[in-house]
Amino acid sequence: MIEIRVDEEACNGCGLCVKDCPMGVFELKSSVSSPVHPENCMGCLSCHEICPAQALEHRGVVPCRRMYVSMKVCRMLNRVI
Amino acid sequence: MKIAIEELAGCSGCTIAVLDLHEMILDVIEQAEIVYSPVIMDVKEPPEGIDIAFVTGAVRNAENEERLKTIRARANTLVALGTCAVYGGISGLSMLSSREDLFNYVYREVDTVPPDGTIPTDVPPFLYRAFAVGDKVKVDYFIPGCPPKENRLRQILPAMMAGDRVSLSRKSVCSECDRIMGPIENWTLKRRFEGEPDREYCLLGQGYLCLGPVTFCGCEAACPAKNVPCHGCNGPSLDILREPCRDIFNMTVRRISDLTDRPEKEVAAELYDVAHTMYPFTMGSQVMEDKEISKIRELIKEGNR
Amino acid sequence: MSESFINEAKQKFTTDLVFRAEDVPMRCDPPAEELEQTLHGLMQLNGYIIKSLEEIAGRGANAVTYRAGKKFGHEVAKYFEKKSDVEDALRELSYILHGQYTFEPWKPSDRDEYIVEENGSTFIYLVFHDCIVRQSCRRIGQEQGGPLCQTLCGYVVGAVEEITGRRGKLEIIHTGPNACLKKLILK
Repeated sequence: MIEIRVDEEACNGCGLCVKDCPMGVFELKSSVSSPVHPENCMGCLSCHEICPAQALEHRGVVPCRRMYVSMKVCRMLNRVI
Repeated sequence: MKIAIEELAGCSGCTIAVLDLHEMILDVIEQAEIVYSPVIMDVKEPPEGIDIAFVTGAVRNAENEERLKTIRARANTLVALGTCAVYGGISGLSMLSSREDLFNYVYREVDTVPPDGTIPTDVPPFLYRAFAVGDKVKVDYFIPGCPPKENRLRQILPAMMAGDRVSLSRKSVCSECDRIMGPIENWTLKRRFEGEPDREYCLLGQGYLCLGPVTFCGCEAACPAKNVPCHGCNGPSLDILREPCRDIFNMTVRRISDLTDRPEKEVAAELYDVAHTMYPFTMGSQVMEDKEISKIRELIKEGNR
Repeated sequence: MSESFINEAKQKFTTDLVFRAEDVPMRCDPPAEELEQTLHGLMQLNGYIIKSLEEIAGRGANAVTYRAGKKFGHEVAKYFEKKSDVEDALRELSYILHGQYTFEPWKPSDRDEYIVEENGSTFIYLVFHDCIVRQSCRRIGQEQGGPLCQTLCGYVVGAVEEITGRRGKLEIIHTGPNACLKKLILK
């Protein structure tokens, strides 16, 4: 089962995840997004990409290979504080 | 422990940012000795055996490159401090004009030039382009910021000296901003001086060009907290740094388009002076330019014509 | 004053290497940097080819890439076992696609069965995790769901036809950064 957590401090209630999710997992509740149907999540992580504040966390999602990220960029990403 | 703060093509603001630790600097110099920092002390050459070298400023001329290679060889750990060092920063904006235009303007056209208007030739020559520090040498850590803010440095620097790990947020400025999304109707792009922004609601939704969603965090959204739209001085957010299909311009257009339900072409048509509004802090960075969809290469080509 | 390029190149490409036809390639474990150069170069090349194909052939680009994928699928699946049961066929497919396009079966939470029979056709939702096409699209900044994705649709359909003998269709329901949802329909 996929567990979804929303960082409530980071979330600014823009509702983009609600609009974007193909499975209708999220709903806006008093300006904070809430995952009301995590059982329908298929792990595409489109919500991660569309959230301007990176407020979403998924547990139990299989990560895909991302070899299009070059090693130089990958190293830089790991070293940004 | 020996630390050094090298200054390449920068404004020295990042060295001053280290001094902005205020009283905490006393704890720092108790643990570590600053052995070389041209901005704040009179030592001419970095010595051997430096433990942590902070390099600030971009690599723009031959002297910058030489000094960078020297300090990389003499330091154990190299930290690129500040947006100029990490992404080319404001020093990278110099790529928008050709070398001739730049030198002409600075040495002949500015009000304060001497009447004979000679362009000096006994200075280190410009490299053909600006570079971020990471494009030239191996960097161990990157701390972006223009300059990196006190609160963040207070958490990073003492831990770095002590060899501890820190776990700081690596999200975007939006995650630190306390605004919520307001109602969005009749969106048009507003310049900063037009109208007065509502303090409670998202600046991007109100029509201002706030680069919060595409900018790395660390400043606690200091500018939006004072009703000023974010200018992106912390460099791009990590998702933009990572994805070759994302860059500051196309993500800003996409975010606005998603929020306002306007087609991306319409949104892009309203944006102006992309070089200075979107890319002022990332022009020197090869990593940011290497993206197929980046507009940096065409902007530089246009500017140099 | 740097040396002339021609002089430098002539010096660089001078070698005493004894080259026997039977010894090639000289090393079997290329370093990651070299692999990456080739990989990224290929992704970029593919991307530009597809962009140009779309500009010239318009909607026909999808037909070209689908056909290419289908040929590939038929070729690769020829030596795999023939299965008529859908689940067994999917297992064969997962061997064929493994590493390049890993997938798993999926169903909406309000259904009981993964494999659904409807109007004489069988369908199942598949979630694709790893995908070479997605990586290529992201490398060059193309949107997912375009002609390049049709190569995968053709590949799966071709492979499934060889394995089961049934005509098939693969529809793209949603594309995402980490997984894409597709619907496999077998007639």
